[in-house]
Amino acid sequence: MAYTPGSRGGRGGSRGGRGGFNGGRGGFGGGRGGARGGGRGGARGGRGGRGGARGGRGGSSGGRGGAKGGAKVIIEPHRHAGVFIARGKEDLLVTRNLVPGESVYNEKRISVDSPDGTKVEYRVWNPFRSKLAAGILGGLDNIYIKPGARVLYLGAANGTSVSHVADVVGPEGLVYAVEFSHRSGRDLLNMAKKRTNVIPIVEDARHVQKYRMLVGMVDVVFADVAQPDQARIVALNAAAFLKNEGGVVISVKASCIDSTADAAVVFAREVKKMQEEKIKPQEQLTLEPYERDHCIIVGKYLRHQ
Amino acid sequence: MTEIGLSVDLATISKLLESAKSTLQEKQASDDDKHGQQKLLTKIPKIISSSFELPSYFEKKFVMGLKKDELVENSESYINDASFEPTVPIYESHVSAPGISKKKKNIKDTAGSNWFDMPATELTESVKRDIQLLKMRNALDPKRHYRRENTKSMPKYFQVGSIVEGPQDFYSSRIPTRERKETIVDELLHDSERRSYFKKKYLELQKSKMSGRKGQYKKLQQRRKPSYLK
Repeated sequence: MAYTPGSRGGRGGSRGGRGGFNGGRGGFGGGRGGARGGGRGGARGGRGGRGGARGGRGGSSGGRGGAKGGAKVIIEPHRHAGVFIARGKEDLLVTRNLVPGESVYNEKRISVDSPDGTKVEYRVWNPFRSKLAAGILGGLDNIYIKPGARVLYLGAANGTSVSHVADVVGPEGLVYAVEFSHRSGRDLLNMAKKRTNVIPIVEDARHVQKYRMLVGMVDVVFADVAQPDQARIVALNAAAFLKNEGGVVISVKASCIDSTADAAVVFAREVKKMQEEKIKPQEQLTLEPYERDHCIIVGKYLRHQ
Repeated sequence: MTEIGLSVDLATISKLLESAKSTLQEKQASDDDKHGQQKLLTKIPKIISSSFELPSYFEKKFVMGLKKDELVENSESYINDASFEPTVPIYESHVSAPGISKKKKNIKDTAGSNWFDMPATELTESVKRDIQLLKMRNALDPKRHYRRENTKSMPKYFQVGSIVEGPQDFYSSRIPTRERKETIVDELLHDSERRSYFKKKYLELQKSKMSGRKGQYKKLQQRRKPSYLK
């Protein structure tokens, strides 16, 4: 738990810096370009074979990195409630911005020219930085997070995914964000100052009694804690706060559970642990090509099993 | 008793005499009229036949009167029929069962509260062209590949927006201000790289589609001509 937010923050910083130096990327060579190209190709619908070409072309890859500012797009509702798609030369997953005019992690925004004068804005949801966005793009059937829902988010980190979940649930919903690290919790607190439907809790998720007075009954538990005893942590929180037949969405990182075993074996073992803890698994989705050796398990909590 | 009977008889006799006088006077008057007519008629011998036709004319007049009465009676009956018609209830041949009502499909103005009431935007010509262009975006760039587009119809609930870049995107991921346009079609038409590609592709298509047409046949004819005819 202690090392994960550090690496994530570092990744964000390096990406930001890399975006600034456009021409310099060509010099880094094929390896880096290949890895990045593979990932980006997936986001844009292409395949890994494009990676080599991407690496070789340093200058143009900078320009092609994302949708350009000032371009026109068409926003459509996604299949999942509260989520939208921006269709342009590239398709982007977006959520409606709860605080128009502000971006949380320097992501792009989409401003809509609405005739009635209200300011409508959408924020781009990056699937490479959010496991839930990767799951939505991967085709999850049911995420249980919708406008008006109350979500307990374990492992909130800096609050990038939490901000999008707050956008999805809207002003009538609530997100209780639990984070153990104080350094990430500071960013979470700053995000929660503007999004008033986020309640930040800087505590260890294993000790439910420490924050049970802050959290009411919730509809969904989303867990992204990357700990070996993740299933037990989820079970404790579900037993304390989750309503009967509420949704459980768990992001499993195989190397954090057991780095020696195969990923599929680790996933199967986690599913078995969930079944022992009254969670009926409904769906399992690996997050290739956005994350390697990751999967999302969606289940339903049957309290009176 | 006998005196009373005698007085009654006298009174009746006097009345009878008076009525006889009056009838005689009337007869005389009518006779005078008839005589006058006969005098006129005897002067002209042809009119004697018409004297016999006069009663028939009178009869026709009476017939006319009867027709008028019939017309009046018929009009009354028409009025009655007209008055009766709206009062008769009209029963439909098919009556739906009680409790079952046809549900009218209400076309919603928004996508619903689950998508924060996104409005159904009016599909103007420029927006329609933009959406059609997005559906055919496979043909825009040969080096960029997309997944299959499954939706065939035009979207119903949509909004048109423009991307706002962050502060770190000034040099890397931004369209210069003078190159920003109002629609996707305008953006594409003002892109010089895309325009050169489109021109090249258009000329290729022209060349392939014009092969085997009239121009080629004329060239063939020219080649077949002997040298002294060229």
